[in-house]
Amino acid sequence: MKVTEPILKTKGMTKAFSGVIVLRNVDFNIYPGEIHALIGENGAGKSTLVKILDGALSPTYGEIFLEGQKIKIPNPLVARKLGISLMHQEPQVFPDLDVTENIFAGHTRDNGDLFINWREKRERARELLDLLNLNIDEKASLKGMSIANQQMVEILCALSTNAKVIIMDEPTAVLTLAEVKKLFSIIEKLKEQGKAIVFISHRLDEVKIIASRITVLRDGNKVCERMVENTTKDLMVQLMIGRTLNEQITKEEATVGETLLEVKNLTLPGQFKNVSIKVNRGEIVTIAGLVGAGQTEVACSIFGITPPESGKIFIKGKEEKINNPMEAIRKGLAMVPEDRLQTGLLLPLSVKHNMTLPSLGKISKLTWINFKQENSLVEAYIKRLSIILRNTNQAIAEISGGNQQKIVLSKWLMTQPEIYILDKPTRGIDVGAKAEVYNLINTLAKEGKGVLMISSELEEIVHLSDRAYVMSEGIITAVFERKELSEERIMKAASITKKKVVQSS
Amino acid sequence: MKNRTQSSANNKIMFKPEYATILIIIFILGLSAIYKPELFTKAVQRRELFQSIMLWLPLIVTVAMGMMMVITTGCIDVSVGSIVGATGMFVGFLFKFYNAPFWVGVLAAIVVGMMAGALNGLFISYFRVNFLVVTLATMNIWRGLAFVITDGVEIGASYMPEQMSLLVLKGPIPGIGIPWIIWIALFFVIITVFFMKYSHFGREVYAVGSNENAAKLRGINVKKVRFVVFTLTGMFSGIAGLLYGARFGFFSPGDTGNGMELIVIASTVIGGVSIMGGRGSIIGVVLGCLLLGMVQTLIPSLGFSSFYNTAIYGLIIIIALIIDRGIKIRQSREVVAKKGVMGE
Amino acid sequence: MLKSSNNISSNKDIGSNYGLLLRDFFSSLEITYFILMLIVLTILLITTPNYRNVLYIIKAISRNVEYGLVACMMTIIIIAAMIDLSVAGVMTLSATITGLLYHNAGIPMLGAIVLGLMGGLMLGMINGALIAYLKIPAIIVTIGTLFFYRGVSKIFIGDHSLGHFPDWFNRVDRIYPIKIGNVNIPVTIIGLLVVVIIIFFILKFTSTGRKIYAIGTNETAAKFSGINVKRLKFLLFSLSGLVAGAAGILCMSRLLVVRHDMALGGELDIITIVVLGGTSILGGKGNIIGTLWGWLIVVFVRSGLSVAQIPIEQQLFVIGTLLLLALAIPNIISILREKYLNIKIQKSLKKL
Repeated sequence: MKVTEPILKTKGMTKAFSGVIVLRNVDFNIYPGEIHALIGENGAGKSTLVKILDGALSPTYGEIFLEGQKIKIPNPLVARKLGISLMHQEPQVFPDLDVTENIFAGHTRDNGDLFINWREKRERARELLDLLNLNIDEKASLKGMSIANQQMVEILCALSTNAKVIIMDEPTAVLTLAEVKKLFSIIEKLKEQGKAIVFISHRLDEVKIIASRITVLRDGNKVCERMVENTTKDLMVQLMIGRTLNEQITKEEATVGETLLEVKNLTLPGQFKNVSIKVNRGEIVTIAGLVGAGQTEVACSIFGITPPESGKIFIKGKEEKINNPMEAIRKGLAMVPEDRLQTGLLLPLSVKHNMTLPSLGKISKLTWINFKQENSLVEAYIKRLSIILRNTNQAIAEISGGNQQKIVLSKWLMTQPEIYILDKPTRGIDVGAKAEVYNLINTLAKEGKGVLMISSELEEIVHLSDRAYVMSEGIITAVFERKELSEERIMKAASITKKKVVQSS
Repeated sequence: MKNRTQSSANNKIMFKPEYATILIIIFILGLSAIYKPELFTKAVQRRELFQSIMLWLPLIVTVAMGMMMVITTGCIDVSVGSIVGATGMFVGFLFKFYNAPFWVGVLAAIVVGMMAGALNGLFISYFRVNFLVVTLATMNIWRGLAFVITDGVEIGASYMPEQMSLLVLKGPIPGIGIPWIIWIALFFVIITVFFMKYSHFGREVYAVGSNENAAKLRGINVKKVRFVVFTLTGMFSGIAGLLYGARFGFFSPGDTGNGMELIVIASTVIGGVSIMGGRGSIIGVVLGCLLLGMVQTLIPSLGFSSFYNTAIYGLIIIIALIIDRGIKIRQSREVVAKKGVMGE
Repeated sequence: MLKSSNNISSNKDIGSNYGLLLRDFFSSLEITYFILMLIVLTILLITTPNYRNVLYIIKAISRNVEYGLVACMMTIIIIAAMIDLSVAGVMTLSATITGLLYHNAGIPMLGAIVLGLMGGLMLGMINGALIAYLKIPAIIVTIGTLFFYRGVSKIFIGDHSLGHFPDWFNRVDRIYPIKIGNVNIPVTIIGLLVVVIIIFFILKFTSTGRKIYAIGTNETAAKFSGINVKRLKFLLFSLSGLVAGAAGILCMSRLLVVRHDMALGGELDIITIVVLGGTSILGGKGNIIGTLWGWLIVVFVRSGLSVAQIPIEQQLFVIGTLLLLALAIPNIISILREKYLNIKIQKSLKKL
């Protein structure tokens, strides 16, 4: 379908926070009946741009045009009324309400009714569910619903407001392969209905599949707007980061020694079952799999956050019971969690306080802190990982993602563990920092530590692992030694599913 | 007709907290019957007991309707008892010193109550002060004011317009001896149920309580919701202040509404309403009020000194919390188990 | 966005850490409270003639040491993003237990005190168990235990005043170990200052203090960082019970009797003290010196009102208003400032 006029566009969109310009003069064009991907590195300004369109942020400068008319979007309610709907990365739903209530929450007034007619609302919810061929009961509670279905409910909410523009922020980040397929078929349906869809994603494969147009942002600027069919993945990357990605991830050889960590038949009902993993000295072992397959749960279990219900953990050959992270640290484990802003770091605290938190025992005698020792340790690790800071008392929030991750890493390096559990250590950091992280992982292995890494980036897995376990839906579906590794094999093993893929008719 | 493969999790008969409350009520009644059978066998005593409970209940229930909304949005209002006292005293003051007619008293109770609630809402929502700090402060402000109004002097029955006593003695339907006060409370319960379920605002209250962030993103004005909820609670408390005078026959700065916040909070907790989300049920809250109102009345009837009241209320809250926690833990286990894992 | 400078911290000496603390204090929001306190203090000093007399001030202060003590512990609890509303109940019940053991069980006073303190500790442990291990929100648990504990005291001693304690126990606040000039400083005030100093060092100089700030800032991240959150919470509440118990017994010594309504409504005073001192009720921020100022304010306001012969309920009115305004006004000012700044930015960017 050829449409010449964008249904929604921004002109010269500029946004500044406390004097720092995060979006500069961006002209973003969204066409109806089209799937338009917005790509760019972290911090490029994608989130800011869509938040402005959603009314959650106000532009510092710039105009928005809806169907040719200049408009202002002061808050999300107005955005909704104008037909603009933003779906966030993590589905924002109401767990205590049922599906119908969720769909209509916040905009029950649209009908102009004084009171809510639930029967009518339920019928409408049912209509919407049927429209997308979803087998969800409109009276079902949201509690415990799978994330994929929660997302569906959010989409239905957008539909129920007769949204003309639907913006999806990294919708596939938390979905399994089957669920992604389902989501794409629904997006296609939405496109057929003439909706304009904005799709933000880091997964360039998906962008190639689903989108017809892309806009690339870099450092707050719009780099270009192109049609997808004319753009290769490599070109996309080049546009995103401003240089070609020709760095190969290399693995350095390390001597493999005794078994540092072994878990046998670890089970936590509802999360994972019969997981057995072995990590030897000098090895980089990966747990691969799609998001939600249970890898993070296994890691949290080993580290003592949610101890397993059954199964055994052996550290250096000795069976141990790890009931909480404190014990795990004492036994030589360290874990870098997936979400550095929520669980990896304590945001309001200073860099220094953050770094020394797990090592407080080391820098204090009978709880009295040795400040001199603390300072020198902190400085040493900052140097070692080349972290860029103004001073150690700086607030974490002011630091870039890559440096934040380095702070998390040095925090755990400081505890001098034998076994590192890294949950997606390169998530959301720029290419330069990524390379440094890979370097560090290699160094750790060479120093004789054991590294257990969770990753969903096939390149990382294939290049770095000595051994890769693949998980899907809570169990280990395959184990590959280094020489057997290949991207296809991993993908295949990661997609094994017992659940019936819900067919769309 | 399509097959529903993801069917509602509510298909299974879930363990409802209301059942537990009913059981506990029956249990306590049973124990009391064993301990002092005359309470139930002798018609006079039975009637007295029943009246006592039924006249006390409307006061608690009225305020509980407001408290339920407050707790649903994630806050607590500990100032309700003091608002009851202050509005009660003010109404009594109007009756005594200005010979105000009954309807003026009613109006005053509503207006003053709303203002008190609005004050809470203003500071909590718009001045961004923590709800505990605000309601703790206003709790003492209103209690102090109650004393200031008449310099600590009670306002006795002789100053009440006759409609006040009518509230508890007569009912709208002749022959059926259910006094006005109960109908009034019933009315409030019904409009609250209706309001929460069928009004737009009511849905917003639930949304805010369930996921405040999501509510904000949906365009719900969370600040306004909280403000209105606190104002409504103030209004309910004001009305309860008036009813207090009707029930007991006098207004006292120290007694009117004293300690009420505890009972009301306890009833709401028993009703399954949780400050962390989890919306409970209005019936559950009413049953909670019944339980606590019953306990308060039974204690003196069974011959225990009123000194036991406070301790028992506190104990009930604690037990209700533990049970509520147990239920939630069990529920989440069920949910997790249902997710299932391959190979099963 | 990479920063071009490559500077690492220039902390060269240990002294800078302590210096940083001072700098933190003076540049933070706490300074506003500090100034507020000075203003209130000055007003009181000027308006009430009695205040010129240092002796009078000391006397006024020593009447409120118990609240100050509990407020110190409460500061720690609030920094950890929790609250203990049951303190007044623990005070009363511990004192009741002590009194009853002495009178009815014939246990010598010293032993009764020890047992009373242990009782307070156990009451705190009950709170701790429910909050830390059963994970029930602290606010509502401690509302429940507040009434339960006070209620139990009521059951035990009803309306009576339990007194007639041995002489050495009574009026401990009249013991004056130190004399400055011609002013006697009672041991209780010294004790309070000692507690303040101890807590100051714990919060700023020990690993436990760091952990407390950590769980008040982000409990989950703290847990992931290896802090045993459950244990620490349990410890803090148990300690709170112990301190409240001590405060209750102290109160009994000063008043010579224990009644069921001891420290009735005390939680308001205590929270006011902590919050006026600049500690944020949301947790993660706060310091004990501020609590000291908050305490002084509340003490002076209370005693000033008592001198003016204003009845207790109305005193509470004043304290309530003070609390409300003291917290609202800084917020209102910062809201207005934000609006003003936004307008300025809009204007300047329009010029671009």
